[in-house]
Amino acid sequence: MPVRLRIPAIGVDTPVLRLGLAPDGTVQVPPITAHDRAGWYEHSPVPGRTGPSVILGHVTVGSYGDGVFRHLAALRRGDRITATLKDGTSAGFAVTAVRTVAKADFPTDEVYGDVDRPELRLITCGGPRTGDGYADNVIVFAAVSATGR
Amino acid sequence: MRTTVLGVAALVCAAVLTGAAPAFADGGSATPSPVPTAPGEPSAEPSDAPTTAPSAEPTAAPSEAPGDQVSVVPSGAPNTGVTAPSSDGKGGLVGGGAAAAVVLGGGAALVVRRRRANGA
Repeated sequence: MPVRLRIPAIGVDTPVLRLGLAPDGTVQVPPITAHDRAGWYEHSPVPGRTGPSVILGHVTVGSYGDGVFRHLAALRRGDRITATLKDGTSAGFAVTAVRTVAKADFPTDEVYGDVDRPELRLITCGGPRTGDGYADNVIVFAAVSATGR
Repeated sequence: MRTTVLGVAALVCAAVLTGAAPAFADGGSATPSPVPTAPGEPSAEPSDAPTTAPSAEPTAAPSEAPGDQVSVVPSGAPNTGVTAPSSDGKGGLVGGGAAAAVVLGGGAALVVRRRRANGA
């Protein structure tokens, strides 16, 4: 499993938690804490394997302030992302697209659907605030660019 | 009586032996030979199968089957952001309080000026 995620363009260098499914069938999200971490969805491929590996992080963590993915929407096409695995190997990705979508129109197929190469999805919240949350999701799509130790 | 019984028994044995013998003889002489000679051929087939099938599949299986693609698709959109509930509320209260203080201060200044003007 991935243990660390680095996104130099937005200053992210975070340990990675393991996330599963919540009882209601939605994906679990990392806990709301100071210095929150990103989390890898355990039913998605390990970064570097064929398929869309999904990693989530908060944009803000309530009274603790900014979340680990606070500046995810600032990523641009070509920006580099590196996921380091537990065995010491790493997989490098390049951003292919950054999208902000309404939660009501979350593109499930595009995020979780099968692909024929190793890809990465980084997900956080964004857009207008609604109560104690946000109306939109920011999704970063990235494709593998290099793997190695 | 005994002789008839023995005779019948002997006939049965003979019939069984004669019936069985040709079966062994026929099957043993004709068919067995292809089996021993065929082992050369069957050995060729198994040698092909294990070398191609098992060696190809295991290499493909570990990299493709388990852990590749999303095995369980979550429902809905993830809630990956919690706003600070106190920040907006407190900000509003603080702003409102400041505005009220300015208004009250301005009103007090006007009263003082008018009193001074009347008194002087």
